[in-house]
Amino acid sequence: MSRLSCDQVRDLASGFVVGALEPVQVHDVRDHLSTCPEPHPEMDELGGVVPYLAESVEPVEPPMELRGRIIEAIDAELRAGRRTDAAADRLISSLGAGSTVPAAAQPALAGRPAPALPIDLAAERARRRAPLRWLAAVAAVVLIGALGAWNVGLTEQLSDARGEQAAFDRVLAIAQAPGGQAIILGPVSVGGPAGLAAVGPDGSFGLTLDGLPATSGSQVYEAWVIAPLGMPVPVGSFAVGSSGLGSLSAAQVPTGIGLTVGLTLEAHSGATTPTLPMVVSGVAAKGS
Amino acid sequence: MNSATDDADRAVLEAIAGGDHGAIEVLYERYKTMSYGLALRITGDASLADDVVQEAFVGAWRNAGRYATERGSVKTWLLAIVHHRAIDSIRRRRPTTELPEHEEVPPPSLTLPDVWSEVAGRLDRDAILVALATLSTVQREALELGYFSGLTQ
Repeated sequence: MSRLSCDQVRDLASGFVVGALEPVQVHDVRDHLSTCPEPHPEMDELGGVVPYLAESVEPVEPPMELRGRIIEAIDAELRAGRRTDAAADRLISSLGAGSTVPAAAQPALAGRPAPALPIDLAAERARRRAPLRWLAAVAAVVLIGALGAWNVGLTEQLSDARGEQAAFDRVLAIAQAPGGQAIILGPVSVGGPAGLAAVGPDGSFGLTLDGLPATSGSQVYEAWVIAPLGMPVPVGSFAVGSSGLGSLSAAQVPTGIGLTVGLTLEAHSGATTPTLPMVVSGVAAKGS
Repeated sequence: MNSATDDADRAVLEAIAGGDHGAIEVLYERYKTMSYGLALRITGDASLADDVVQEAFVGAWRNAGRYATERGSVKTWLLAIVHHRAIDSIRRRRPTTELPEHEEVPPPSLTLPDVWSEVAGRLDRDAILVALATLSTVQREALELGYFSGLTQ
């Protein structure tokens, strides 16, 4: 039963279509729309205008130096991208799967020296393929299971994190289900943590991460799901110990195409808005 | 925006996704004035607008490979990124700083037209402003309030 009436949803429609509502209101509106037998044409009418609001603004010439700042920031991203590969390598190694990935399937970046600027386009293309290393990790895990080596390989190498093995299983199951979406979570900061999340068509959610700094006191990591042009919706929190491993399962998270999943470090559980910067984030790719 | 421009923008984005470092500069030249105008309108602060546009173009560079044509033009996609970053920046700022009550008119030195983007943007703006005028006053104000300030009614 929806908590909002049709009139209340109509009142909230303009805020909903421009992403200005609080997460709990977004949930309530979505809940109403998914169950209400009455049509809500105002959503389409108002939503159709949104893309054009940006273009109604008077253009303004930015400062001359802004272009240079953007190029410098992208250069920094390129350098940080190599650390993304290193993070993926750590997970592959920790899963005991590194040797099972055929050499031909490995991106060519590993072991390459950092190129001198100006930009090395080959290296940049390799960086953009970095998510393939996570997919390789997933594929490698599946291969191990098929060969009956699952218990031997993973149990030994994840002996201090048996719960993480189960978490990884859950994430893979969600991602591989029809309509499931896998989200490769890369580090925002250089050398940061990385991992994998998945969102199922029924709103099921799983996440597993490696390399997280330990939490202290009441600190928690909070996971957020963000629909395109939507607001971050908190889906759950967890603490992390010295292993740096973290995982989370949740249900009834927002679904749809192009979801972004992010993780923030919060002082307490129950955050309703994320405390930036994101620790890791990634955008969903449609599952197979 | 005509389809030829859309096609040209998609080609630029494909080049970015393919690792062409110079292509992001092409995209920036095309949409810097629209992006900066939107960021400045939302934040009301030139320094924040700088940061927003920087984050938006870096984000566009990072996610160029994920752009899907069915979600709209490259311009719409890029400006949606700018909008999201700008709203995020003012929400972070809100606890300590009052939002400007009135839109400040930028000095003439900041509104010198960029030839390509100014012409393309101006043509679209005229049609868009006419379209927006067809909404009721209440609808338009509610939309603009939410869109440009992240506030509900």
